[in-house]
Amino acid sequence: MKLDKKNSIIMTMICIIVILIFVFLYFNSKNEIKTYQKNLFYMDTIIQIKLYNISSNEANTAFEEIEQIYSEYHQLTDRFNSYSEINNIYYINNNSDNIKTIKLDERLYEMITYGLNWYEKSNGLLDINMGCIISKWKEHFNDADGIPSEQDLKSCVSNDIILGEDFTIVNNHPDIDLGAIAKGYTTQIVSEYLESIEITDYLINAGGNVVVGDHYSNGEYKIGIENPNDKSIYKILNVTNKAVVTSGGYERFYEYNGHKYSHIIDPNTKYPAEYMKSVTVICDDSAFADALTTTLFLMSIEEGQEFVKDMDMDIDVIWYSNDDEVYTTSGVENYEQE
Amino acid sequence: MNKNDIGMILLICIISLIAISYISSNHEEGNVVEVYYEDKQILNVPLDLDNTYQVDGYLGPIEIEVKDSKVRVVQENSPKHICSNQGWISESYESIICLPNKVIVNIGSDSSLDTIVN
Repeated sequence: MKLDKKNSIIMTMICIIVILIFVFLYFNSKNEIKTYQKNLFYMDTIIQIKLYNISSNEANTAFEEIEQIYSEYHQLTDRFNSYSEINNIYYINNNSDNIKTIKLDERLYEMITYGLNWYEKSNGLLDINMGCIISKWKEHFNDADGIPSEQDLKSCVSNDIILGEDFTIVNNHPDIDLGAIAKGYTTQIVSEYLESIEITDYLINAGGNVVVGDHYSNGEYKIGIENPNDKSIYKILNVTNKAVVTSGGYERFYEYNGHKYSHIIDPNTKYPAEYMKSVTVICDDSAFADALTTTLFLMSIEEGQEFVKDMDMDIDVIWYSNDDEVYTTSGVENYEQE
Repeated sequence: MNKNDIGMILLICIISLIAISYISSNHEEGNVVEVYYEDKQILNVPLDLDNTYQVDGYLGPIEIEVKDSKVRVVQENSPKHICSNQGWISESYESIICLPNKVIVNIGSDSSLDTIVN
């Protein structure tokens, strides 16, 4: 009897140890996540894509298609180069063809329409028709030296963007620059493509435009938000199936004569906006997030808080003010809990 | 409890210890420096080994220095030298991006962050 009891204790111990081994093996196998990474260079930025938990064939096919999407949208939105057989932004702005309207690629037509809708929505703050002014500032931004003269800025005139039926645009040489929306818009297209072929676990970071799908191991993606002063991380968000986009930030300013100039130009003043150091938007749609961060960067934080409240959507915002205060909408704390 | 039982327990303990140490040793990968040209990895070296390396970028050779578990780009050929001016990085969420050279220097590991927005 006594011996039996001891035997059963031994058996129990053996069982426990075996179970422990399996538990360890299980946790170990969970760490073996198949990750595929690709870096692309389009739209003046680096685009980092990570796909998880699929076969390498699926990953390769997806990467090819994604590169195709970014490269085609890059060409369509390119303001400085023409490409044979596509009527892109360069062509719309600069062509000397004697035609009344230009037939556009459906995708470019949709993106311009999206930009014009945001012009309405933002009361004219998000203006996709100021390529010339943006160029004037960019020259100085790139050398971190000087600012454009009043004369320079005044020399920029643009004709209205007039879209017609059947994917056409009036050939009146507008001054389109889609920089404020192109990255976020295209990244949204890519994320929809991935969902359509049932790749659910992914992360895309297109130069500060982040989109994530489901997490690769049932957790949440940890996304660090950079401090605009020194590049450190001042906030970590835990998210899945969201877009996180920042406007402003470190290296998106240049200093001249002791004054800091941002890269986002206010269409009303034709000068860079100075309301804050950076603003971050968390929402479901990357195109929306990209357009909204630009819009919010162009108004005061108080106005922005009203603007977001009035939209009455599932949007959260983090403002980093000029005096280094952080303001958030109430939902942000849901992303910060461990 | 007889000798066989004790032997059995010891044996199982030893097996499980070996298994656990084997498993956990797989976990403790040191951080590595990963250098990409476009999307091809062209360098993968330990972060805790002080050394300098040279890789080819789009506009010419790039010199990368690893020291005290930090990494930096010492020299590269580009209009503004943004990536050599960036200095040291040491955290896995940090990258040095040499855009004109199409070269990216990452620190790879069990990162605590998946990405950063800037």
